[in-house]
Amino acid sequence: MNATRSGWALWGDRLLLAITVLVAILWFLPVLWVVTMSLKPNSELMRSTWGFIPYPFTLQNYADLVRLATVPRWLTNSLIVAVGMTILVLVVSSLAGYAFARLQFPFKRTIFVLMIAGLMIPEQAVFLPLHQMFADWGIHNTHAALMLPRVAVPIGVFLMMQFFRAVPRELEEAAELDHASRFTIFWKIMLPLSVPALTTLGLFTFIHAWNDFLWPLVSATNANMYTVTVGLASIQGNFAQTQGLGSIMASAVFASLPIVLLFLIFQRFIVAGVAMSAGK
Amino acid sequence: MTAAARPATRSPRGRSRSRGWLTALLFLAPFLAVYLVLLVYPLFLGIWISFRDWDLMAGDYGPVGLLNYQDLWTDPVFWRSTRNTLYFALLTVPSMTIIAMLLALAVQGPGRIRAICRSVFFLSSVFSVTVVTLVWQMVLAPDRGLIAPIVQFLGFTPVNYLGSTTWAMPAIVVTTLWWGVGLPMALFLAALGSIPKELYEAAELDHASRWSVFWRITLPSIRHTVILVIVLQIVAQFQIFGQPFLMTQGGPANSTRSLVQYIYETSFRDWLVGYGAAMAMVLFGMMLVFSMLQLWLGRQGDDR
Amino acid sequence: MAEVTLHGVSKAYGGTQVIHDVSLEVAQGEFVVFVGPSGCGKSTLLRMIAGLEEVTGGDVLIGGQRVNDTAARDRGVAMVFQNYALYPHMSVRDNMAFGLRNMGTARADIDRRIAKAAGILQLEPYLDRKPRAMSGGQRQRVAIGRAIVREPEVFLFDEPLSNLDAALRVQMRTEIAKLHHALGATMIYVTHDQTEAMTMADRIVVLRAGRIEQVGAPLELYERPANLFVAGFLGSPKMNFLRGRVAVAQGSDIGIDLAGGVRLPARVRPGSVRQGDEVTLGLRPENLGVAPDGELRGHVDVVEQLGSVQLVYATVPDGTTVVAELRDRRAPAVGSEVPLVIGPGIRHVFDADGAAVTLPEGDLP
Repeated sequence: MNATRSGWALWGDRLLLAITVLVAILWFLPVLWVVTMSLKPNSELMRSTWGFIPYPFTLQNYADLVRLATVPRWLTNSLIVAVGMTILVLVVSSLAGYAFARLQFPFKRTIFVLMIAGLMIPEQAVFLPLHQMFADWGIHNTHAALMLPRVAVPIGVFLMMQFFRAVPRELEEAAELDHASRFTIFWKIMLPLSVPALTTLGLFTFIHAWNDFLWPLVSATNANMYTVTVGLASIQGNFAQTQGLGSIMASAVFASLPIVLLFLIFQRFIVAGVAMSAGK
Repeated sequence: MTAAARPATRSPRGRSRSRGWLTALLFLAPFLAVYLVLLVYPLFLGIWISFRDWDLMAGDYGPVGLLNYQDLWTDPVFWRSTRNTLYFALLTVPSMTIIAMLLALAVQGPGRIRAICRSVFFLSSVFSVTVVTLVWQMVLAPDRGLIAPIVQFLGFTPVNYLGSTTWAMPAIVVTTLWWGVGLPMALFLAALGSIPKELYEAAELDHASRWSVFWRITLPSIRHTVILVIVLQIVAQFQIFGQPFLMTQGGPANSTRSLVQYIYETSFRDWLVGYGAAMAMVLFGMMLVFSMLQLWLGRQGDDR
Repeated sequence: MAEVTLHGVSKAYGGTQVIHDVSLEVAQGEFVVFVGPSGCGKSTLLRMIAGLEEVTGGDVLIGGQRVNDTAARDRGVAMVFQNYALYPHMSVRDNMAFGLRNMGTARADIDRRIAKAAGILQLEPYLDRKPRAMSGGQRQRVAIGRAIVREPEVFLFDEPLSNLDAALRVQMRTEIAKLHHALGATMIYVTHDQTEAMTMADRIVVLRAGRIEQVGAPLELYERPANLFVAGFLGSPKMNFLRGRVAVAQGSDIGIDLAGGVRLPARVRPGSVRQGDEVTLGLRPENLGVAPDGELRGHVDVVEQLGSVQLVYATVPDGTTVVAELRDRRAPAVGSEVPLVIGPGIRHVFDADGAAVTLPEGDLP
């Protein structure tokens, strides 16, 4: 739409862009504000929370956070759970996705339909029985308990299947003639080709794992096993007391840093992933 | 030339075919294992539990038939929670869809500025629910928040929004919009990006106004995405839990208690897992209708 | 190197039969081209030889061994695909080495074979490039190189040139022909382009609707097409077909009445047609000219100037358009009525079923 436009239309475009920028600034303001507060001393925050420039400036809130070690501990839990879940989902989904896309086996259609049906089972329908099962197995308050339930979600299998189906069949046939076994084809041809899809799926899984709330809330009851999301919820109770405000804000910023970094680095894949999940 | 008609029975028959099944099984086994153990079995276990008197700590006290479901019928808090959940979805889904579409229209296209705006609008959706509620509890605080000074400037008295039966739910809706608009916006962006440029160029030559271009070209081209976003949002917003749980704890006077929160509290505060499971099944049934709609829509896609 | 034999091979998908009872012998070192319109089953047949499609009837033999149940990888064949099917994430070198590594070939041997293939195909400067950084022609060379290093018994080509532009296609055509001479390997080549078939093949196999229409050397097929289909498929511009009726039949000599009151003599196998039979007369464009004593009158619609020759498209009395290929530079004016003369070349005669009845050795009296 770069065609020559009349003067009015051009000014219209500029006005719209200006409004958009303004909205974006307003949108971002709460984030900026929280970051600012996290960099101010508590005494200052007791006087006033207003302002978007961290003055007087202090890193004391972050120093306290690291010294107390609870938040770093939760962060470590979150990292372990998110990374572990991501790896498991990628392995399980790419293997099964390949089978559905390109292999022949009895009852393939039936199994596929059953898998698709699984897409319709929400977390809320299974979290109570899962809690009972994990209690029976005695694995609550472990990292495994926090990872496992989401590995069973079939959306990853579905996405990988879609991706593998789009790979030209001739590529596999060429590899077949090149004496490659099924597993070699999968490992040396299909997986390297699916790096973009794996990245997207991995990112979404990671973000999901990081932000998961309901399941870690019921599974991790020991404060040492909290993920950062649940941990932050547990300190929001102290929110009423003004004196801790700076450190609460600092924990929120600290907890969001990894995920924000990940987002800034991999933005492109996240947006591509949205398009992919729309059933393209 | 026969690519379209070529079915997948390619490998030579006989011995190598059964080996093919075995290979497929190896590829499928990890998924099937977790799927059956951690999704299918729990679903049926959940249904079974919903027909029993089941205590969180003490376990199974035996079958009670339909009693859990009958109790639901007469439980005012259950009805209130259901109503709250539906009210929340009713407020959120249309506004989310419209705002996401407006933002997508505003930030689509080339240029650094638009790219940065896209990131800003999407960024808020990567935060966890606890961070989002923390931010918005601060923003909405009557004494030291961000909204209060503006309200004051406009000549009104700031209210404790989260403590008001009228304003608590809209406040949660606003929070949810800020948190969740990124995903539907990205869906709209993908749909807008796939509209052929020639369509707009033709409209330009036909002297179409901005307004008629939107109604005649843009909206019809993305109508499937609009429906998809609506359905996805309904399914997602039915699951609301974290925002009211953390911001208002379901109050004031139960005005924001959601179904999932009530299930959680029934099971983990009152230990009535059987009763909670029955509620979970009702929620599941409500969502199932829309999930099926979503699956069906996922196969449609826009005209591309 | 090995010969390939098909014994009554057929293929069915569910209830639909796409290959009907095909039998064929491809000799060791021979270059055979499968040609036919799209959907004729030529690619399917090739893929059955490769082992990429199941054989549902008959036998496929490579080097005398029945290979119906042998996996593709164990048949000793290499295939060049239409879309090249290069592994996009591997360099040219790795693309060629992949199969050899899977077979456990020694490192030094792999390097030697790649160097040799790269030499033949002039790929040395590109060995460390990825396929996407190469042109279509170069990619096709890599695909061929990947086949060469395997030193297969049989090379299979599935429309390898159809994604290239016209000029490159001509160049690659000669290169593949040269390669065949250099390697002396058995090659089976599938194409829908009759020019490729004519220029490259030792023998052409013309297929239609899953059946072999005719097998033979290019000139043999060109001069002695067995039926209307083969006659129309090979040669460019196409053979002209004129409908007519047998007026007189004496032994092998007949006279055919065409529309517009013209009677033309032709020679057929004795007794193959009778007086009064409907026949089709086939005339190659180069066998048609413009001369004052021409028997056939034509109305000139279009003249195409190709430099060395002129193609004159004219409508004859029965309404069909015929093409004449002229070698002098004096083409008639568009819109004019011209007399068309039939040259000394073969007059092909096809009976009502489309089968050729032309006398085998019979040139014109």
